[in-house]
Amino acid sequence: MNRFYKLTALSLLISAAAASQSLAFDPVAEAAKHIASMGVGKKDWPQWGGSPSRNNTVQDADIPIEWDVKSGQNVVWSAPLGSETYGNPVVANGKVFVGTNNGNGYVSRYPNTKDLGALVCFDEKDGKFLWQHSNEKLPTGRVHDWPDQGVCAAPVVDGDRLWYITNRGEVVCLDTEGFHDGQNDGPFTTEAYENLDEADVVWSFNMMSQLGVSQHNMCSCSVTYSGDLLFVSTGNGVDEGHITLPKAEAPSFVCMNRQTGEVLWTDNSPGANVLHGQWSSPAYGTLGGVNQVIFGGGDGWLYSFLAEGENGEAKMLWKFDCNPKGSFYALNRATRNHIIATPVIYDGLVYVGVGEDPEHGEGAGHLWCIDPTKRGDVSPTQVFHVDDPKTPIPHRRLQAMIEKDGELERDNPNSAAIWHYVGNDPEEFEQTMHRTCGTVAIKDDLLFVADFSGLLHCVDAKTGKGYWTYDMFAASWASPLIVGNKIYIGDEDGDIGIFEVSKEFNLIAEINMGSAVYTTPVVANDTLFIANRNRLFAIRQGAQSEGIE
Amino acid sequence: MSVWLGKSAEYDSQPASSITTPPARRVRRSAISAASGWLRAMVATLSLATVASAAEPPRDWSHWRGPTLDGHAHMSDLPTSWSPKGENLVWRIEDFAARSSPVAMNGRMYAICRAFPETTREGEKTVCFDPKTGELIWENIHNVFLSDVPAERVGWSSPVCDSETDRVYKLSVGCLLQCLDGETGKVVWEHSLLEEQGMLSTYGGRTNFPVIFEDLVIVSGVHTGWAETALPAQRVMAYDKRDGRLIWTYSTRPRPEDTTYSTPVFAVLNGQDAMVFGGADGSIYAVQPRTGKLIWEYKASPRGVSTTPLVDENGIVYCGHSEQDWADRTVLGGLFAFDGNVTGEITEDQLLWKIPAFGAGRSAPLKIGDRLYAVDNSGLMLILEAATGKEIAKQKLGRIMFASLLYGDGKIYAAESTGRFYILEPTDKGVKVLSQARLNDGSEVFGSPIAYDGRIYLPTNVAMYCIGAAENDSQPTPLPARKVAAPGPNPEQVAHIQVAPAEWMAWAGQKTDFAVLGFNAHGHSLGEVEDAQIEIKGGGEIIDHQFVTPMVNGPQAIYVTAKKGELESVARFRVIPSLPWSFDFEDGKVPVTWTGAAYRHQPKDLEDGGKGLVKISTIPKGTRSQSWIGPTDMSNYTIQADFFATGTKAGKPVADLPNVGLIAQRYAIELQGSKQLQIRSWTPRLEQRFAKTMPFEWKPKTWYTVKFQSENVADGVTLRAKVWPRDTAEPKDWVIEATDTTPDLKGAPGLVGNSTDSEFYIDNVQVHAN
Repeated sequence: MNRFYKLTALSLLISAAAASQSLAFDPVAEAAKHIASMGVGKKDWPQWGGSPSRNNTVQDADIPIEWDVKSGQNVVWSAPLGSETYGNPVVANGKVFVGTNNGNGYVSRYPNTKDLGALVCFDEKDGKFLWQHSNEKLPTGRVHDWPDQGVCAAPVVDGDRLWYITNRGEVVCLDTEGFHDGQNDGPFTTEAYENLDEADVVWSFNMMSQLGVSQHNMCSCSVTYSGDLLFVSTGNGVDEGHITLPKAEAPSFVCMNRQTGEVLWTDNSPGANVLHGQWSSPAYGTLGGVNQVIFGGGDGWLYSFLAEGENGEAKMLWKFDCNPKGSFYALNRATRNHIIATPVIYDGLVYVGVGEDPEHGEGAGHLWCIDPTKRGDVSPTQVFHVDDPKTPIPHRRLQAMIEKDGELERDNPNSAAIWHYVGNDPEEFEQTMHRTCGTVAIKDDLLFVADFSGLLHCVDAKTGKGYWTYDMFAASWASPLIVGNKIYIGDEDGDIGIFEVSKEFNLIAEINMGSAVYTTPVVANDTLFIANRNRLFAIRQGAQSEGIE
Repeated sequence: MSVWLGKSAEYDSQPASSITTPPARRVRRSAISAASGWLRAMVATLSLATVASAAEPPRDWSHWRGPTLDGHAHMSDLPTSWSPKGENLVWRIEDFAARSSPVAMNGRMYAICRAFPETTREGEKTVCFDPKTGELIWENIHNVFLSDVPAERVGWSSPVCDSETDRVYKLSVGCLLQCLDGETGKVVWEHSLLEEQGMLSTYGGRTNFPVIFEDLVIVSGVHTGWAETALPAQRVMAYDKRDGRLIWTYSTRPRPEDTTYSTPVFAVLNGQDAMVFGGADGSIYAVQPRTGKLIWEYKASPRGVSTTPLVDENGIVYCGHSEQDWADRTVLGGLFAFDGNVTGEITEDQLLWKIPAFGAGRSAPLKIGDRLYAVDNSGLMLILEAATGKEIAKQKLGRIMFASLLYGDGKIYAAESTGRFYILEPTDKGVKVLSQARLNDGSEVFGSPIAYDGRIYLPTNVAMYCIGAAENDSQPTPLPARKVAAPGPNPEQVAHIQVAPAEWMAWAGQKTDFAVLGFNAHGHSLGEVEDAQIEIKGGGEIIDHQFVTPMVNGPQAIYVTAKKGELESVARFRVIPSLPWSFDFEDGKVPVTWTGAAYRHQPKDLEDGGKGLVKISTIPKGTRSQSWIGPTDMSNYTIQADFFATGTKAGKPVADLPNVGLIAQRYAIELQGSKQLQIRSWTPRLEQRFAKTMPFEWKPKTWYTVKFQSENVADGVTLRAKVWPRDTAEPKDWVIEATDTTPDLKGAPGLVGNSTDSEFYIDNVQVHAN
């Protein structure tokens, strides 16, 4: 079966146009500069997406295109994780951090039969277990804290501190050294256990009790920061019945002081319109001279806020509805989606696709490129009633525009949409952009994104024209990583696909990892780190470790 | 509860929750609509549709896995290719869109579907149609009530047919267990297991598949029941298929993480009849189907197992799961085989083989000859040597797999969830793709294809497809010889006794047939045990093989213990006096007969004196709950209770309020923490189905009285409620009132509440006739 689809002959025209432009923006240099400004190694990978731009592009490194997890070829080390792993690895200052469940039972007081959210810290050089932050499951059960899902968020590391969100709805700051430095760092110093395998909590903030948040199923936000400002998306969502937001007034977005845990501003713009949960992670950048933090909303809108807030309150800069106004939300066959992917900043523009909880199956998707310099409602269109065609109708949760009730959609003169990609031929499954939980990666003005239906898309980042798609024939929850001129991406069959960064389709290799890969590969210090469902691998050219069965 | 009055007694009128409509060709939808769901009078006068052919009907497909419970279709001339655009497409009917497989009996086909989707009358329907033409023969429609299940998940489990009685059995997604007349769709008997047993009806929708064994219809679900069953656990329940009396129950471990829908299959293991199924607690079980006695258990996962097991002719059990593995907690999923001809706990070293991390969590394995075909949740098919688990080949089918494989006429039929349909031919090296079709109508496939009379029936959530030739020469092929159980050791010796009914809820003064049943070691029936010693605790007496409940002042639990030598069996009954009822909790107890109450409520000394109940915020997975306090055949009554929000959660002060409320006749009134008052029927279908919501100011640390009334009226049921601070006079007027024209005309009174955000007290629960 031919699983590769060249999208259009238009690509020739487009590439000719692109070639005539100035040199492409260099996202690698930008990310490297940012990482160098942090208290981490220059070639570390200190947070989800590498930098607050969240563009998974790495400095050139000699990363292998073949390895074998069974024989250990090109594998430096591997370490067992729990039975399910959704947290993306983060590598900083000689340590690797991964969110997983307690299936391996690293900490002596918690046997592996006890379900936990676990943030595990390994030694980067040999994979030795160092310590684990253990989070018992919430007694309210799956509505807030789904069994066996572990810690789904990735931390951000700076110096000897890391920040992340637990499965219990807490923002915590930990000492990356744990108790290995012989100190109990505070203000929080009343840890019940100070064994070396335990975590040293610096401070902790409970969003459920202190902000009234009721997260749905899981808190999954991977936080980022700028200066002392830590940006958090809360997970707030529906109750067991999936109709009502029990805490519609609770914030979706939060800015905290990362040193103290003090809340600086909050915003609940998605409010009662959150479709399912508030699960996206924020991006941060200075865009048009303004410090913007950009959050994907559980209501399917993308929001930008002034990072520092204004007088202790949130100041929204712009908001953008990523769904067609007539789309509707339902359990199956919904056409209205929300945002699970992380927005990406590239060359002054913002990129994001829409998606849904994978449990709700596949569906139609939308990928957007947005100009972040406009203000207010910058959606492509607005909704009016035929009787009052001048007053936009406020957004509604399930469906923004109901045509039969006399509502209509008109182009928004203030639209910030640069382009909108739904595939080159939405009649053809293999040429359609489907729902995605994946974040885009962009280099040389080529955007790559995988959708939940298993298609990898190559799209022109400046024009939104598709160049090719590839059917991985397995659902993808992950995002591509770009290293040099290669893309690495995992799928549910456990395959890592390696492709060339090119308008021309070129599959370099497909390598099986032994079990499903829900996380995104990362590269730090010339080593590729991949967490499959239950094991973390460090892969480097020329290495050899004992294989696994 | 007239169903209990005698084995021959059937409902003399249609149960109110259910309507049966005649063939579509005679009564159109609009006519049904005009009748506002009130078709009770019409049912008795229905003339019956007849199925065209007078010839011998095709061999029944009574169970969704087929006559041999293994996915094998024993017939010739099944299609080799088809196209949704027309080739070999006999019909496609959107009204029969289903999440589960259809079944067929006596020339008629049955499926469970959404009724009136996306309308205010939406519910669940069982349809009966002509398999050849798709012509509707009858449909039976009922409401979904007090359930978290989304409409899209209605019809999760398949019906099952019993050709001996020409009846169809179904467990609705809202926990209504129905026995329907296969020819007319009339309800013969039914149990509302939500109200009677506290069976969970969840957002996830997983619903168990009923199965028939001899005189029993066997179902299961996770219950938060009463007294001994108050802790949540999956209970397997075997009812007498003729009259709905509960004969035996078997409980898996309490507090399971999941609900499951693994369909039990029957086999002869070690010479005895066995029922093999995956449990909500993650074990695979074999029990004796006539007694519920455990034969063996294999701990597969700490999470629920939903895969339907396969047992081959030698008693080898093949099954899988897609959750954390019991033996290796770092592994998710597994596919395994073991010899089922054993007893006790099956340990990991007894496995014949295991493929770790193969997430066979939905699709049942298929065995053809000496090969096993299994598909994981992400659509990867493995072809294995069944004896060794050695891999022969792999075939990727797509991305998401719910359906089980079907084999017939030398071909495998595989329906991938996102709409790819394969017809495969087993070859030496693996499989050859004979044809592939793509459903381009947005279909998702959750049910499995079946074969009947030379055609394939494929259910999707958009339509039912009939695939094959309109006319064909398909002939049944011989079924493999059925193994017969051995009499076992000392076949005439009673080795197990069972009081029947095992459980019963009755009005004071009601009677039921009563017997102590004897079985030998292999579970074969030895008839009634006449010499058992009977001890009754709680009143009532046995007169002429009938149990007569006592006249009681308050609801009472009765335990009937039968003993024969070392053998013992205990039945438990709940006897309920006629209205009015009043509960002040001064005895410091949660009333024992209440369903779903004990585990989620505790007795409490109230600060202002006296005793009441408290709903605490730390009950694991039980802060949001529903409970029922009486029989399900009640109507036209008023329930009231006092509620007090403590303004605390786990001992700490909070500003939030809880949700508190009452149930009458399958409707809830809830005083919500968001400061509104709401009447509803189907929890996630407020706007689409029926609800009324209004703002309502209330505050913590104040006693409120809530009064809720249901009244059956000409065009439906009227619900009305009032709420007032208890220390003020009751207001004259109702504060909220709504009429549902797609009514539930009966149902048990009860309580609803959610203490996730704040604890609350309950006192002075009263129910009286209007």
